Amino acid sequence: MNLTAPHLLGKRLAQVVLSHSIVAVLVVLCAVMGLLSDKFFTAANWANVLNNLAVPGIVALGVALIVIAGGIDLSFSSMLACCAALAAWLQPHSFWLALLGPLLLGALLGALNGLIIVKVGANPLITTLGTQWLLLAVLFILTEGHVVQGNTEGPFHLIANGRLAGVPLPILLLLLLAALAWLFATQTAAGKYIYAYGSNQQGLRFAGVDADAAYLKAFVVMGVLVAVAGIVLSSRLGGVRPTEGNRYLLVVLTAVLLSGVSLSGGVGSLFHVLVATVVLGVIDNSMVLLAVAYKYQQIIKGCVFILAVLYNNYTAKHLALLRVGKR
Amino acid sequence: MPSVNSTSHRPLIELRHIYKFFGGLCAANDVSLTIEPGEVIGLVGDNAAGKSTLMKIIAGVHAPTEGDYFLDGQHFVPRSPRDARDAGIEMVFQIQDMALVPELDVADNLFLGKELYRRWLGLDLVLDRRAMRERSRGLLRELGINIPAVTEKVKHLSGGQQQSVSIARTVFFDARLVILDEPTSSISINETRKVLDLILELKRKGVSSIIVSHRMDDIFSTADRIVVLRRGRKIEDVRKANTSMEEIIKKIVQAEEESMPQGT
Repeated sequence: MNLTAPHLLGKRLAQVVLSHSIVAVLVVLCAVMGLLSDKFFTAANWANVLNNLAVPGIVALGVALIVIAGGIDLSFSSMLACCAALAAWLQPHSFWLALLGPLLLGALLGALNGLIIVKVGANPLITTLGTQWLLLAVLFILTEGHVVQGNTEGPFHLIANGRLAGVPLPILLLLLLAALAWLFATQTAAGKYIYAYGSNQQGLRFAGVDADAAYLKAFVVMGVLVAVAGIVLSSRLGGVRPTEGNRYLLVVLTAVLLSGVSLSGGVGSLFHVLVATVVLGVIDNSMVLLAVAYKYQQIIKGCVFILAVLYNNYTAKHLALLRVGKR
Repeated sequence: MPSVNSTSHRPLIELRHIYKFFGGLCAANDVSLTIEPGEVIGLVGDNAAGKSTLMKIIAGVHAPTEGDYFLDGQHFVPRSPRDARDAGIEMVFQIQDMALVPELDVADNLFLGKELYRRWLGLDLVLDRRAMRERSRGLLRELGINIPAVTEKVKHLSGGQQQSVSIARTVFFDARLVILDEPTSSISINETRKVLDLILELKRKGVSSIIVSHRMDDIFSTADRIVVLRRGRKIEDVRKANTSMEEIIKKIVQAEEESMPQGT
């Protein structure tokens, strides 16, 4: 089997294009928008686009890890709100506590989801739908439905509003975490086991690896990422409402699906997740620049989600088809 | 590679009067068996003859109801497949049982659970993929396994190639006994030869194997000794040189006629 043979080269090419198509989507989208709006390619516009992406982008990295492991986590919206609210509550008292507290809470909530799923063998979709409601309810009880108000100045405020060398800090944080998460997923054994778990957990067990621990780690890492996003969100808003996380549900799930992370597990690239998040940010931005009415924006977002699902199915199927001849 | 112990003649594995009951069913009935280092045993018998039970007892999946299991002359009581593996007893499953991880590449599969790391800040955190690929290439070359690239995902390999990777992995786990359950089922005829050659290659390295197969050609081209089971009993244990394919088939068929008078 020679993979550089001409008849396989085309197949190889199709495979490469298909597996990196989200990058092509971004390039085309940007080119079209560059033609339609002269505001699109300005530094101020991009700083705005990327700045808004920090929170959903960081969360999407975490959720993608879970999906790569063959699971799903729908509780991230409530986890995000809980972590953001805790940060807002702690930050007037201590800057460091406002960082450590949410990170610890995120890790714990991730571990809670993971433990229920691993130890009970519960379906992750149902479990995390349950914890989504549960956490939201707890947050409502603790806050009595009010905004948790923090200070709107000081070091904590700078996390989302500061700049380093002219670049907004959230953008740098997003890029840094994307790089770290990518390194974790591709260069460590824990990351490798997450892919292996999603692909064939039986094989992982057979190799003598503690597969449950591997799966659990994905949930903990995801919890920590959501916590970082919560801190950024809290810093940006100053005051956090209990429902603050809900508006990220659709965009995060769309980004994960659009990135080509397979819902059947074992496949996906965190780099593509980052690119897919940017694609969604650009679509959002385009609708604003082109003055699309808000109600239509919602319809378009819904359609993009459906398209992402179809696209996800399509690539999975076609990558599978391309494989057949190689048996 | 474990060196063959030259100071004594004790077998690698010795089973003495093994019984295994599942409820009222006797799946192993007074089976005694020895396996010498570097010896290849062909295990045959009709369906439900107890081949799988015997394999699983040796691999630590089942504990025998009665009887003794010796490894290197020492009493051996594996509590789990993990114990057996730590003692150098590896089981290679049929490829359709998916012991490999299809989305990982060949090198990642070979080193699954046994990763090499690049020391970084005094921590074993970062995988040393280069070293693992290098050693994987070396191992595959040494075993004569032909695979396009160790960076190829396992799902892109043919059945025979996957089976070869499974077997090669046992070498990484320092296997002393490899148990192969129908190693050539669902792979092409061309590739069957390669898998069988691989078993002989392991033998040259002093690794023993047990091959369970319905294909007499497989058994006769690799085994030193052939063991026939019938309804949990060992009814034949003969050196290949002292028997023939006809004789073995007759034993198996005879067993079928006796054990299933009412037909399948």
